Amino acid sequence: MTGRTSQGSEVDQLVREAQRLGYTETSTRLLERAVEIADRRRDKRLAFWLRHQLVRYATFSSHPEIALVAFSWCLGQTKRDPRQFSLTQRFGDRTADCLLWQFKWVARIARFTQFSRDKIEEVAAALEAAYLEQGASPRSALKIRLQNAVVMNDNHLVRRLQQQWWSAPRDEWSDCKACDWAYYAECFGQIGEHENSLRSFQQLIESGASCVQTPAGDFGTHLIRAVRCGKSEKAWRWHRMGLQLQGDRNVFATSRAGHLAFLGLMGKAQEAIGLLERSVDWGVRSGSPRTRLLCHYGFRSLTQRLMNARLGQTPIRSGLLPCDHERRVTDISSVHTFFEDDVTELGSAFDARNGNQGEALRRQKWEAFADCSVDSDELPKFSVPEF
Amino acid sequence: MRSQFRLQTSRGPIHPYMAANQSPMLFQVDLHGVVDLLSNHLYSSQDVFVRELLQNSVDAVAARAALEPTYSGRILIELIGSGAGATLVVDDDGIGLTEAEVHEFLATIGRTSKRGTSLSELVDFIGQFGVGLLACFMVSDEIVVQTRSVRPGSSAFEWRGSAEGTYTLSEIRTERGPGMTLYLRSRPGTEGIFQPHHMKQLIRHYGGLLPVPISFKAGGPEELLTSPALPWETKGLSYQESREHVLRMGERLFGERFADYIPVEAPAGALSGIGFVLGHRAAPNSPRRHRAYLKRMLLTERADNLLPNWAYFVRCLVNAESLRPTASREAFYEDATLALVRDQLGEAIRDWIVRLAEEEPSRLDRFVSIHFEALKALATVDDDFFRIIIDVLPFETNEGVMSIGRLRRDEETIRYTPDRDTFRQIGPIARAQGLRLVDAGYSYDDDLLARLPLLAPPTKVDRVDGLWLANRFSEPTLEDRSEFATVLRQGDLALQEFHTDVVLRRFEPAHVAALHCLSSEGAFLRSVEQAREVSDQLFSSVLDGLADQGPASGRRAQLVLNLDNPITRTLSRVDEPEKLRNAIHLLYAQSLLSAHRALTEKEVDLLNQSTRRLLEWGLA
Repeated sequence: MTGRTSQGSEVDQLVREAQRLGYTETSTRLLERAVEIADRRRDKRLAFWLRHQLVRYATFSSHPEIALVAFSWCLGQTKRDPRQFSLTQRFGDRTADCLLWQFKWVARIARFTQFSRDKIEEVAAALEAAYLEQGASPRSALKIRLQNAVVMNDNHLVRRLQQQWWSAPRDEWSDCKACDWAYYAECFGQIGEHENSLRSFQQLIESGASCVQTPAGDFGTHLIRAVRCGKSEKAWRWHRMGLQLQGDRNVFATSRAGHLAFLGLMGKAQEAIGLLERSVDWGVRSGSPRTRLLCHYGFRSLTQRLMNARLGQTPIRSGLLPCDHERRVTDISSVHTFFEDDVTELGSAFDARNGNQGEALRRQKWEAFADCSVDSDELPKFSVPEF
Repeated sequence: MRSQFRLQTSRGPIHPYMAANQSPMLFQVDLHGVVDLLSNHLYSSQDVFVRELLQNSVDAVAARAALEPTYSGRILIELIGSGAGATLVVDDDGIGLTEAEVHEFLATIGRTSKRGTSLSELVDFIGQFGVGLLACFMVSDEIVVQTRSVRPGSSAFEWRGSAEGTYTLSEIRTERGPGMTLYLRSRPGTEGIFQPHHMKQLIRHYGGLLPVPISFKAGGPEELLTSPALPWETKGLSYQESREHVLRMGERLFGERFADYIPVEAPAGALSGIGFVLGHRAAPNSPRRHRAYLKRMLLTERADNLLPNWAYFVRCLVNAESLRPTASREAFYEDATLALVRDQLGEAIRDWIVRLAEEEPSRLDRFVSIHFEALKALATVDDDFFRIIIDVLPFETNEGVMSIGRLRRDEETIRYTPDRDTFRQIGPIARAQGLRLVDAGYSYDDDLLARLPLLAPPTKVDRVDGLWLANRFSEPTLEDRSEFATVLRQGDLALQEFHTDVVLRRFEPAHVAALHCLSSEGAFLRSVEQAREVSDQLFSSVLDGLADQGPASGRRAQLVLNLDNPITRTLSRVDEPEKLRNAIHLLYAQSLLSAHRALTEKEVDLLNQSTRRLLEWGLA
């Protein structure tokens, strides 16, 4: 707290509880409640600060839709009452403690299928204008456009923007080096340069750079690549490190999918089922269709392998997926069907919006991967689909 | 003659096609650069040179003990003078070095203990002497070592190493026994380290648990700083005495009084020690600072990867005999053994809780009252533990805090709200209907309750919200339906733009005129609506896009009118449609306020206009 609420008030308690819990869905709900109280009191300054917090917590608990709504309200206030509210007003010591920084988190609207390419570009242009107004380097805006291009499977654009972004000067508005490095590695994966992807990620790990998201959410992306490069021992080590760092935070749903696909590839059925049960709802709980899709590709790959191993009838608990609601239990075969339908439906929605067949191709790759063993000669060395 | 420090390199030609007459060249060592690397990038503080010295002496003593089973070693550390110009003397009666070993061990950087040399075969070194000795150059410009090997007929030698990267070696005529004496003179800027009190603290800090007797002397008599037993070994003490001893030790080491302690062991890392149970509720994301020793030498006070994530209420004091340290030897290396150790430690803590549940329920109750949240975290990932612990875990209900055991005894189906807002709104009303509700808006509660039917049958659970409660209310009679037909029709029209249906019910308490019920999607869409009211064109259209993903019907809320309420009853007697709509608007606004919902600008406007009209009609 920054002294904006009276000590012991309900809002204060909610915020402190949220801070105590860290970035979780519960914390996000607590902050939503705090926002509602501030709104009820018509305390705009408090509501602004609380929404600023809410954007952070929602973003890091995989609810970008909540973050986007809260951010929009704050942005609206900066335009209505610029003397009282501004994009660059800081609520902490760091550059990241202001609304302008958070613009980067919410501007990646390509992850929602309902937004057209034009709308996505309009938001990116609004972000660019806001950053340029502060005299910032084009780096931040380039990264947003790059991230949107990755989501839209526009690999030609990804290739161009990746280099432009990487060579643009860093400034105080740039993401941390760990995040940038991890994303640089991820972009190589997107355009099929898997050796470069792995090498860049290795450099990140060796550098020791880290932040709240990185590399906790990145190990899963590179495990299968590492196996393909003959670095199985390293992959196991990354697997363990990744799981340890992730804990049970569903913001790492995409990465968790990589860990599960890895366990499936390595034939660790029992371990995989245990881990799947702990994260089976993560994709559904995420407010980001993109996260859900990527998550379910990996989950589906594992369940396909389990079905191939005649483990389809293995019971598994789930709170949100189709199940026997009284007993809250389902089985591998049923969740597999759910994941399969989901990736088909969501993938088609993304392809329709993107105007290409990127997700259809990705789905085919995942399907091929699910049938290959770790030492299969049929797989080209780096054919494992990227996340 | 002065010699250069050497860098250990591969023995054979690196490239398979290297011509036989091409002699391999040695890397050159910039010792200043290496020391700078150590002090600025590898070690967290200059103090670690004391740990390196202790490690060397302990290794030397262990090596001699391997040759002479009856030998028991000792180490004496003496500080002559203090501050600027002080000299530190570290003397051991260990195995000592021959001339060849001096060259090999004192002047070669990067030598590992796995090369099968006669000395390294004697003891399982965890140190790497070359690097360890280099650490001394962080605080001194010159290191002098006098040594004589324990091997029969060995001479004594003096080795002088300089921070410039050179050293000399000469045979000395002295009457010294086997072992090694090392001299360090403090470098300007390190005076603070070479103070008697500080030096004693450092030796205790790093080496207090070492099995070799270590004495310290600084002008006065020698003082023994170690004891042979590990501090958590409490043989010969009564239960109460050992409990007090261990808790007091925890307080001394961690600076806080703990509520309890758990003896822990992890065979995978030959690890043993104590897990201290915090006396206060900890945050799941609070830093985990465990104090860890490796072969009884302090490795770190900030080990953060020793325990599973759920065990954040425990601080460990442990010694491992076979875990691998990182290069700086200030943390454990993350490998398969450490992962196994983590599991085994988690199991030890879990077994302790299970034993409390079976044997000491009152101690468990105290523990649960502080750390129920962590127990809930563990129960979400461990089915067996869930079954054992679930009945004692506390949950908030609309009748006060209750254990799940009590809830299960009382009712076949446990009903809960997934968030606190819903609980606040409908909890008191449900209670008036005689319905007990659990508030599952706290961490893990939702997940735990959802798993009850599977893991603790025959209990059933039902996740409920305001719409569920409304369906439990008494239906209106046919007469009521007829009487209120106009109210319903006008009500739907009046609240259309707020995506709200009007329904009739009878429920307690009668003083509640209307209840605003909302699904979770409806709650989200209200926040979208609020943001849209203040957004520019671009973001307004973005928010429209988000809202389009909502429930297709467009109606996502209900205004439940209570027919037992006198105000509501009067609605049927309002003849004029405008006045009826006004009354519905007022009831709608009132129900939102009662539900602690923030009003949108449109709703505030609605409330103001409705009130103004009511006043105007009243005054007229």
